Amino acid sequence: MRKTILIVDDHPSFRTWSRKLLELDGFEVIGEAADGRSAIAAARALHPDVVLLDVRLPDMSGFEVAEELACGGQPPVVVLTSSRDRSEYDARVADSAARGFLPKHLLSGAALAALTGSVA
Amino acid sequence: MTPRMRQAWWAVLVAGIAISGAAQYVPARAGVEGSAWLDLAVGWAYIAGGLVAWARRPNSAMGRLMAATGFAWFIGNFAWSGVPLLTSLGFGFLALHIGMMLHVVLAYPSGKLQTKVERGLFVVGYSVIAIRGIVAVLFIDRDPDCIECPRGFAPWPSVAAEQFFQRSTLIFGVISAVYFALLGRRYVRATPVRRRSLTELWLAGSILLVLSTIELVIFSLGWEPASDGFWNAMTLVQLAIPLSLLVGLFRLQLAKAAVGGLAVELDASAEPPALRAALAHALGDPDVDIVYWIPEQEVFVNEAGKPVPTPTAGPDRGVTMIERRGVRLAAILHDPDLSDRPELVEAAAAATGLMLENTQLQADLRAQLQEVRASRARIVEATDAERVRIERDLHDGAQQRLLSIAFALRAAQRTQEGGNPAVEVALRAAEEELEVAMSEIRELARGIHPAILTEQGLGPALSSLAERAQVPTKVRTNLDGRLSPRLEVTAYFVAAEALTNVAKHARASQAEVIAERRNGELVIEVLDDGVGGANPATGSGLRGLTDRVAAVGGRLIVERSSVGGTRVIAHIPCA
Repeated sequence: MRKTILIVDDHPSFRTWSRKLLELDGFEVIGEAADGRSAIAAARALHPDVVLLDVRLPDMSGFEVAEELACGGQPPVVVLTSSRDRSEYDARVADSAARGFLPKHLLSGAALAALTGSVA
Repeated sequence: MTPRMRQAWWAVLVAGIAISGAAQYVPARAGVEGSAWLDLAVGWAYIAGGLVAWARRPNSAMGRLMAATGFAWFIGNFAWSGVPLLTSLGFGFLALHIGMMLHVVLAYPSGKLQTKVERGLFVVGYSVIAIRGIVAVLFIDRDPDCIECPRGFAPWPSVAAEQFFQRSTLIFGVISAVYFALLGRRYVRATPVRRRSLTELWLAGSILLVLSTIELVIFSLGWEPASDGFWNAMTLVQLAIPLSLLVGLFRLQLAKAAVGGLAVELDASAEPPALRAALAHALGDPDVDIVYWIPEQEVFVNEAGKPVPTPTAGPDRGVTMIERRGVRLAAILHDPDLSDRPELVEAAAAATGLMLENTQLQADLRAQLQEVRASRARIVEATDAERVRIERDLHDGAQQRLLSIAFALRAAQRTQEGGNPAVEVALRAAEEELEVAMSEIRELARGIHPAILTEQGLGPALSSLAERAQVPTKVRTNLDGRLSPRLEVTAYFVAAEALTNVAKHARASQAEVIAERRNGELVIEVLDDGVGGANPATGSGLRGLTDRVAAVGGRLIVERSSVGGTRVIAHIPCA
């Protein structure tokens, strides 16, 4: 069974192209959200296996969204992403509720699967 | 003085001559012994002093009060007149002049009593004096203290009234005690200038109070002094009051002479504090202050060139505006008592004129320097804000578009797998090129402004900086919470530029970044164990850092570190 994924980013072009790429790489994209609040609502409604979550959203940070998602029942695996460098977030990612951090320019189905490997 | 006031002044002078003459004639004719000259001296000290004060300050009540006191002084002499009504008035109002003398002491220099308690005390005192006077005129046919004195008016003589007249002096004892407390309070609360100028007056007032209390209270109970010593002392102290006021005037002349020496004391190169100290000395006011007028900005500034509100006079402070050739130069802030002597303050200002002009120019320069500093800080702030905006634009614009292209290429690669090898090679090459371009843009954006600094603060930003540094770098901080963006940005760029220098020139094996709060400053320190030799005078990077740190009021020091390399320290004030 393909892993389901929710893409959260305020840039529509990123959502469009990452959806295409991840679908080609075997993920089932079941939803998109452009800000933190709608991301939390979508995750609770759709129960994705993975949430690909941009660090900087218009209404709240990706870290805050990850905290909220971790509090619910059956929390998804959260992977934070950003077009900025990994070194800018490493320490905070380690302390956060997210599984890991994937820089946007390295995004691929394989890279995501490597991070979320144990997801059923 | 108005013409009407001038007429009144002349009338008082003429009346003074007439009454004082009559006051000497009356007891002489009755064969009373005593010094007419001393009597005249006391009365005229008040009348003349009062007339001088009245002429000098027509709007102050002081002169008229003093002159009236002189008239009251002579009333007692008419007890010997033999004219019944005048005789009654003479002994009935004998205490009036003492009340008025004490009034003069307390009301000096304005001529007005200042508090409700003071005014209430004198209302009570004058009322007692008036009631005793009326009782004497109507009911007492002979001064009880003067058997040989002529008979008074007294249409209804009464023994009870006589007893009241004598016992009522006890009220003066109570009034004296309150008066003494009020005088003491005045002394304690007085400014240094006032205390210095009024000490003699207040001392004379206190002695007069004690002696008159003895006279009115104890003597009325039947005790009489054995010799004339008491009366002589009393007369001398009564004379001392107007004389001490004259001493005050004389001291003003002396002070003016001291002010004349100011110009000699100060040369044009003296610093503003020296000018202030010299003025304080000449004016006898240790708290004197000077603010300077900056015509271009239409504000007053202090010695440091910092704008201050336009000074206004109040109960605690006098202000004298200083002009030169019709142009406002400065304002002298001084003790309110010196407002009564504008000629002294103006003389002081004139004596220091050139110096004052120089100091005003210095203050002007300092004000301009302040403005340049402020504008430099604003420019740096605006530049920082612009850098944040450019970084965001790069992130949200170019980087997102390049990412979309990278994903499109990757998607094309997936669909091309097993297809035309030439296309696959071209797609991979394009993706690699794109990867390099995105990496360069990321580096550029971070160099312009690191997002982590805005989002997470100085500590994480320094850690991130150290991680990427080419020389292994440790970070040590003791910062709790966030600092102001201005401080964070400055400190970050100090560390970033210093670490860039370490990588380029130091040949170091390790480096350390320390960021700490110390004594109200943010201290950022970058050390390495390299070859040393960094010099802000030659390196444009360090020169720029020095300017940047100075723009926020801090200072940058570059020196040899204890382990042989370079130590860059920036002290940035937190406030």
